[in-house]
Amino acid sequence: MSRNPQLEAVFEARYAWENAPGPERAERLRGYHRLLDEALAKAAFTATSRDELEDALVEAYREFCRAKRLEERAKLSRLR
Amino acid sequence: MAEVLDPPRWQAVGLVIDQNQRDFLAGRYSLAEDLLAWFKAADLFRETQDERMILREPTSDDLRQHKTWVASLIAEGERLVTEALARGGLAEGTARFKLADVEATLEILYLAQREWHGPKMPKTRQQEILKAVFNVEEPAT
Repeated sequence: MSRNPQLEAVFEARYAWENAPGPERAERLRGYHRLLDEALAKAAFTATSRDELEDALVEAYREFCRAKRLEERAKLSRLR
Repeated sequence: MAEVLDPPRWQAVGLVIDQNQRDFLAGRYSLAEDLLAWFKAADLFRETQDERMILREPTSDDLRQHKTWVASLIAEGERLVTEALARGGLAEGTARFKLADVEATLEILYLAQREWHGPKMPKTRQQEILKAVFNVEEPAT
């Protein structure tokens, strides 16, 4: 899928929330939700909700996670 | 060989969740310690999810295991939050995390449950939303 910086920022924020240490998760979740709300507001697309937007992004986010995990593995193997 | 070695990942998730539940019911640890153990179980679950379902194509057994353990972690997390609320919240200085961090972790689990086991959005609707909000196109495959 072609990407744009706003979409990348949403994915980065979600990944940061899901992979943050426990004591940072509430703050990270607020940041992620803020980006989703901003994206919806900017597009003035009122026919969808935050949940529906997440559902539309499922496959693309899995691709993003796969790339992140592979990148992390490569970094680890270089360190070993 | 890999197939022989892989299944214990889900088994480990299940064993940790079961042990945490037994400890909670027996009152062996403080609430803050039970919550910390739950955080770690949720992290192990997510590691396993990514290892088996993101980095490779999930099998039907992966999906079944995932469905079982995500429901179990959600139930346990909600029970711990209820217990904390019944006690007036987490006592100051007992943990580095707040109840809001537990709820934010529950959100991760609810989202994983919905995305892997809930109804799938039709491709045409997906494309409509992605185009409208991010101006990106996705091939209709």
